[in-house]
Amino acid sequence: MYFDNAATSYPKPDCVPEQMVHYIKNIGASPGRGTYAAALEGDQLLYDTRKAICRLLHISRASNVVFTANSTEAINLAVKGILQPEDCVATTAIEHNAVWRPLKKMEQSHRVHIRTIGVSSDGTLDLAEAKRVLSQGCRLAVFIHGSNVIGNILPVQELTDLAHQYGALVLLDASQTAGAIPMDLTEIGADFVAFTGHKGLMGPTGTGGLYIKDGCVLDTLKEGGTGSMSVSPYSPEDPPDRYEVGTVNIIGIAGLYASVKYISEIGVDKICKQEQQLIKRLMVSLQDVENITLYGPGEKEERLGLLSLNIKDMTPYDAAKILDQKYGMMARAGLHCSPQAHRAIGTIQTGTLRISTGWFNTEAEIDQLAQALMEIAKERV
Amino acid sequence: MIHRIDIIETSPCMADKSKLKGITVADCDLTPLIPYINAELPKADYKKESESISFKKGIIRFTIMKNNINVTRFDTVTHLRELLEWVMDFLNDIDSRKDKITPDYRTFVHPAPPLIYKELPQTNCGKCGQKSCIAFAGRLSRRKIDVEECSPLFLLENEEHLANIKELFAGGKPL
Ligand SMILES: Cc1ncc(COP(=O)(O)O)c(C=O)c1O
Ligand code: SF4
Repeated sequence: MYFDNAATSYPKPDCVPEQMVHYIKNIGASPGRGTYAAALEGDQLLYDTRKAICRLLHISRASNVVFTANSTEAINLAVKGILQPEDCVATTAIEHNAVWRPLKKMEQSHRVHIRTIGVSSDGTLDLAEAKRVLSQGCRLAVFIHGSNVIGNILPVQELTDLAHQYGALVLLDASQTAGAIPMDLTEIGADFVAFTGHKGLMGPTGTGGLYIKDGCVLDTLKEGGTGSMSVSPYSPEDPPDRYEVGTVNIIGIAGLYASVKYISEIGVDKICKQEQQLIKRLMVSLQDVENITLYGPGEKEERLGLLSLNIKDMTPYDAAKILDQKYGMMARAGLHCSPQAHRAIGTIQTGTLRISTGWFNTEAEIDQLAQALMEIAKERV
Repeated sequence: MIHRIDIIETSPCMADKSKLKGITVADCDLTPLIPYINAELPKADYKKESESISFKKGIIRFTIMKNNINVTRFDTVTHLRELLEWVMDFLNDIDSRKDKITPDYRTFVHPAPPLIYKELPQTNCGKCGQKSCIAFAGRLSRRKIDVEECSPLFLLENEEHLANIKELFAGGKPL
């Protein structure tokens, strides 16, 4: 049984490998690198995938979607493409290393000043605290949309409005939320949104992207061939070509196209509801169990389909090992690449055991998991 | 009704090296639609001999002939695909309203520039964005500029000159 969907979703819908195999076997060509039919078909697929993502996330133009290898690359592109020496950047205290490390690197290399918005011990972000930090002025504000450790969803609409009010550009890290919760990027109005293809979007690894609002131009992270404007010694000015250099991962994109279509047919609403119901079912089962500590928002509040917990006097690694070896259940133990978030909730020493649900998990699986965790906890009494 | 438009080729624009031009084909012959497009777009350039029409959307120019739709001055192939979606909707919309549109077979007439120049204020004031009235006359003859750009021509005292200019274009698509 697989409960590590926040790391990467599994299984993938059948249409994902099917579409990838179809592309490899029957199309094969590199999009934008030829005028023969197969290359044009590849290019059409690339465009159709952009459009499918636009519809899912409510983005107005296909040109606003730049494909990257994952959200880590998308975040690096945005952060390094915006920040100038001595700039200030605001961010939350619960960011993933995909945000935190690029910022720390920019602190070293560009003397960028990082201002952190604190959170309470259950991960809740206070808007007054956000205002205090943002009102000091900064070029960029980076907000995690949904926490991969705590499971809470940040009020990104209010945060974006607030940051804009104080003149900052906004980058959202939607790694845990794209495809997992309903999202209207046009309404939110953030300038940049990083997403990854292999989690909530149910696509293959090696896919992801950055939404870049109309009119925002970034410095490039990489330069190289684009298949367009080839005589110019410099990267083209316009998105997406400016940022998508080198041969694109069209096999991955083929899979992503299939998964996004699959999600659209079911509806993000429905997927979100199911994943939340499953995690809440688990929370209800575990909340009064002796020796088990649950982290993050309560059972009544909104959250992602993920839950961090700890069993008394047991490392999360040991708990994960027992789950795996004795029960055949896969869950993730440790810091989940987010030491910041663990500092915030007081679990930096131990980390947590993280359970994350996906579209293919069932109530029966959740009940078996609850049972297993209760048994493991009981042995500790 | 167009169901799809395929891109055949894209290459750098001659006039503007930072932009691209592209050749695309629709899945049907657009010739019957052209007089209707001409009726809907007063500034479109309809050519009877070649049965083609050309029109602009911002700086982008579309030229339609038979199945072909040629597009100039776009930024990227993704941009081209966005434009093709737009033009497909635009043409299909005209197609769906065909019975309510009177087809227009008029073409541009191109009066000799000196005839136009004769009626202009001849002050070379530059308000039209051109260096001189002669330049404006040349562009107007080729319909590369709107007559409204010469604001002095619309002063009451020039009423007759304006009427004369319009008269020069009579017989073709009006100014
Ligand atoms: C909140 C958050 N940001 C960024 C990432 C990085 O995603 P990826 O590894 O796909 O780049 C993850 C997942 O690992 C995440 O949970
Ligand atoms: S605005 Fe009219 S008068 Fe002035 S230069 Fe242009 S054409 Fe001549």
